[in-house]
Amino acid sequence: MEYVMHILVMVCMYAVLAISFNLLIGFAGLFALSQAVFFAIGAYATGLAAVAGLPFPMPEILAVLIGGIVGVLIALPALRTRGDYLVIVTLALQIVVLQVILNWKSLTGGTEGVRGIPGLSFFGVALSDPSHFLIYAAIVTALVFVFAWKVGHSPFGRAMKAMRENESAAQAVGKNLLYLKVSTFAVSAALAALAGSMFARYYNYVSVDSFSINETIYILAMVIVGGIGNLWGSVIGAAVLVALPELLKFLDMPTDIADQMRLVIYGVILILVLRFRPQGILPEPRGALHDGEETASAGGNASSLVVGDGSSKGEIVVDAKGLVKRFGGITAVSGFDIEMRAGQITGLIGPNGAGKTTAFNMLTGFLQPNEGSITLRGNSLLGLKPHRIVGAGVARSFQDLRLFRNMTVLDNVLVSLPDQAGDDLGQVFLRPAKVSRQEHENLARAMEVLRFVELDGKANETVNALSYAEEKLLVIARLLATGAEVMLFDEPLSGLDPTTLAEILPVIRKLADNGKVVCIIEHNLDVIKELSDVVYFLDEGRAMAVGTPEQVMTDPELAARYFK
Amino acid sequence: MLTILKKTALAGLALATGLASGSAALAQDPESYKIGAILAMSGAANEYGRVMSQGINLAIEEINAKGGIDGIPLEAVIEDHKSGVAKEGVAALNRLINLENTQVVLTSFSGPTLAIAPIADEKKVLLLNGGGVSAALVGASKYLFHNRSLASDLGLAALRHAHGLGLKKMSQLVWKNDAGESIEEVANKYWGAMGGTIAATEYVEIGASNIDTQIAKIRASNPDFVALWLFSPEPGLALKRLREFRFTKPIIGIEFTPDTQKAAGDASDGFQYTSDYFTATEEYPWSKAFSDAYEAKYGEKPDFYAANYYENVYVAAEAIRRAKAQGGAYYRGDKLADAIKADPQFDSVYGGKMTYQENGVAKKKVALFSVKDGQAKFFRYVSAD
Repeated sequence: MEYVMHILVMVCMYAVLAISFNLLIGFAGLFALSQAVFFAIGAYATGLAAVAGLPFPMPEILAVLIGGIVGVLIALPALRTRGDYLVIVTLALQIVVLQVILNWKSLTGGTEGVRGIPGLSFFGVALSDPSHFLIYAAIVTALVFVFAWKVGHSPFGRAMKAMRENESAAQAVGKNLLYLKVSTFAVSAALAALAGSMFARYYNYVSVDSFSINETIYILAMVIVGGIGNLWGSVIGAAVLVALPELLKFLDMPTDIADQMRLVIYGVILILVLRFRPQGILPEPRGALHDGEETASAGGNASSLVVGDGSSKGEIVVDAKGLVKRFGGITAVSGFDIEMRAGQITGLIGPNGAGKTTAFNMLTGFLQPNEGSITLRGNSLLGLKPHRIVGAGVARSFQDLRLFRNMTVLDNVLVSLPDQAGDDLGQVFLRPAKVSRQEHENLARAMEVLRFVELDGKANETVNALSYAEEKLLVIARLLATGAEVMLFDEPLSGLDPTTLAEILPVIRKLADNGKVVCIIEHNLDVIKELSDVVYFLDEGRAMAVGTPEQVMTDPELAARYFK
Repeated sequence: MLTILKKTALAGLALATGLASGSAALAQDPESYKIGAILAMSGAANEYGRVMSQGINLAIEEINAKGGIDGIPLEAVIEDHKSGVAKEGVAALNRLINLENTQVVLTSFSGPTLAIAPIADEKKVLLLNGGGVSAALVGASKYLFHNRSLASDLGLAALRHAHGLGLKKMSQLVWKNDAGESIEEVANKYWGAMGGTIAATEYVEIGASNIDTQIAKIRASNPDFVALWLFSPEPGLALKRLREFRFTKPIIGIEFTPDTQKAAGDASDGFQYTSDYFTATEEYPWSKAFSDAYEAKYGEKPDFYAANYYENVYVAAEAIRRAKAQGGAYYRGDKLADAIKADPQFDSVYGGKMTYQENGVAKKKVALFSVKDGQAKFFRYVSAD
C-alpha cells in the first residue's frame, strides 16, 4: 500500500502548491509563472537549514519566511506589469533563480543538490515511509486549505477578486493595489515554500531539476483543470493530475514508446477536459449570497452612505485651480478651474477630446496634473493615490462601467464599502470576530444600497446576467457604497432609453438633495438641463463657459462649436 | 480511447483494492525475477533510455531463452524518470518496490539515483548503475554498484593523454550538470598540477541546440586544445561548431556514440576521447555475440550504454544465482548485494572480467579512441590512476 500512500503524499504536496497558485492567479488575477521558484526556495531553505542541524519546525518556519520575503520582492515588478508582461517577467525570474541555485555551488551544492536532509520524526516515530509521512502531509494540507479559505473568503479575498476583474475599478472603490498585490504574492509564495519544505523532508534530497518551468506549468494545469478561483478545485485538480499519469502506467505498451505515449495520452485527456469543461471541474463559487432574511434592523443602514457630510448646501467642497495635463507634446487640459458645491449637481459637457475624462482622472488621482491645485475642503489631494482619494471622500465611475463582471451584484457593492477591517489580512486572522461582525453589518448595508437603486432582487446574480440599464444602476450603487461625499459620474446615462433614464435620473437627483456633491460628464443635453445646477463647457482642455444650463446652452459661440 | 480509459479505470480499481504483494511474506522463489529499471524514457535525453532499455530487453531474452535462473524467468519492468527528474525516480522506485516486488533496480542518471539511494537503503533494494557518472554517487547507498567508470576518472584519463601529447593551454566546454561539473572539478584541480593552464571554461545545457556563444569564446581564448566534458549527443554539436568556427587544434573528450557521430558529421575526424571501452572483438566471443545479436534485433550497433545495461542484467542474474545457492530467503536486495561483495568478480561483456571495488565502482580499463571517417578506432588503454 505504500505506493498508494506515496501518491497521496504527492496529492497533498501538489494540493498545497495548487492552492497557493490559485490564490495568486485565480483569486487575484496575477498571472505570474514562477510558482516553482517558491517551491524550490522552500525546499532548499528547509534542506539547508535541516542539514545545518536546526530542529523542527525551525527549517519550516525559515522556509515560509524566506518564501514570503522573496514573494514580496517579486511583487515589485508585478506592481507595474500585468498580463503578458507579468508572464514574461516571472518566466525570466524562474530561469534566473534556477540558474542562481545551479551556480551558487557553495550554498546549494550546484547540480549535485542537497543530500542527506534529515526526515521528520514525532514522539519517537520517524516519518520515513509514505504511510507515516502522509499523516503529516495531510495535516499541513488541511491547515493550508483552511488558511487559504479564510483568505479567499474574507473581504481581503473579495478585494483580490475585484483587482482581478479590473484594477482601476478596484482602486476607484478604495482598494490599495500595492497592499493587495504584495500581500497576495507573499501569502502565495509562503504557502508554496511550505510545500517545498514538505518536498525536502519527504525526499531527503533536493536538486534543481525538480523545480523547472515544467513544474510551474504542471501546477498551473492543476489550477485550471480543478477550476480557477475554487480552492476545492485545486485539491481535485492536484489529485487528478497526480493520479492520472500513475493510472496510465498500467497501460501496456512497447517499452521504447510507452512513456512518451503516456505523455501524449495524458495531454489529450487534459485537452478534452478543457474542451468540454473550460471552467474546470469545479467552477468559481459566487461569493457572498444574500439569503433574503436580514433586514435593515440587522444593522444595515445605507442612509449614511446616501447622505452627504452635512455641509451646508452650496458650500464649496472640491476646488481645483489651474489644472494642466500634458501627454508629451499634447496638452489635454490647460488651465482648467472647477468648483463643486454640496447639494449641487455639476455638469461637464464638451466635444470628444475636450479633456473631460482627463479632468476626472486628475481629480481622482488616476493622473497627476502637471500644474494646478486640487483641494477637498481646503486639504490638497495632489500626489495622493486613487484609493486614498476615495478614502478622503472623492469617488468616480467610468464611462466603460468597469464592473467586476464575474462577481455577484452583491459582491460588487460589498467590496466597495469603506473602512472594512477585513481588507487587512492581519485583521482577518487576528481579529476574526470584529471582521465577522462587520461583514454581517456590511451585508445589510450593501442590501440597503441595492434597494436604493432597486437592484436588491438581483443581488445574487453575476454582473454578466444584468441588462445594460441594470449595469448602469450597479455603477451608481457601487459609487454610492464607497460612502464618498463627492461623486464623479462619467457618462452614467449614455445609451439608455427614455424609460430607463426616467428611472435613473431621480436617483442621481436624490443624491444631491441628500447633500452629496455630484459631478457628471454627459453628452445628453436634455439630461444636463434636467439635472445640473451648474454646467462647465470644456473645449481644448479648458472651461470655455460656466453657468446655469440655460446660460451655457444659449451662448452663441458655444452653440456654434457644440450645440449645432 | 474508450478501451484505454476502461483499462485505466480497471487499473485504478486494482490500485485501490489492494497492493498487498509488497508486504506479503516472500515466497522463497518468486514466479519471475523482476528486474526494475529507472531510465530516461521520455524528455530531452530519452535517447539514453532507448538504448539502455534495448540492452536490458536483449539480455533478459537471452537469459530466459536459456531457461532463466533455474527455470524462473526474468522480467523487465522499465520506469521513466523523465530525463533526470529526481522525484520521478522516487515515484518509480516506489512503484517497483510496492507493485512489482522488485529487488533489483537498474538505475541511471545521477539526480534520480541520488534521490532513490536512501529508499534503497531502507527497503534493501540492490541498485545497479550503468549510466550515472557523478562522483557523488560513490557511497550514496550500500546497495549501489556501478559498472560505468565515473566521469571524473574518464576526464582524468583524457587529461593524462593531453599531457602526454605535450599540450599546455586548455579550454573546456562543460555539461551543465553534476556529471560535467565533476570532471571540471577534477580538471581544475589536476591540470595545473600537470603543468597546464585553463584559458576558458564554458557551460553547455543538456539538450542545447545552439552553443555558438560558448564556441566563439572558446575559440577566442586560443587554446592548444579543447576539452569536451560533454556527454552524448552534445559532443556532436560541439565538434561540428568548433570545426565550422575554424578551430583546427586537437579536441579531446570523454564520449563518442553513434548519436554524436550523426550530429558531428565530418567534424568528428581526429576527435580523441577516453571512454568505457565497448567494441566487439573476435578476441572476446561474448562481446561479439552481444554486438551481433543487438544489431540483428535493433538494426544498429550497440553503444556502451546498451552494453552496460545488458551487462548489468547479467550481473543481477549472476547475483541471484549465487544468493540462491546460499539458500534461505535469498531473493532480497541486501542478500544480492552481499553476494556481489562476497565475490566481486563478474564476467564482462567488454571482455574478460570486471571487479567491483570497495566503493562499489567496477574497475575497468579506460580506453583511448580516435575518430577517423566517422569510425572510432581503439588506440590504447590509458589509466586514470
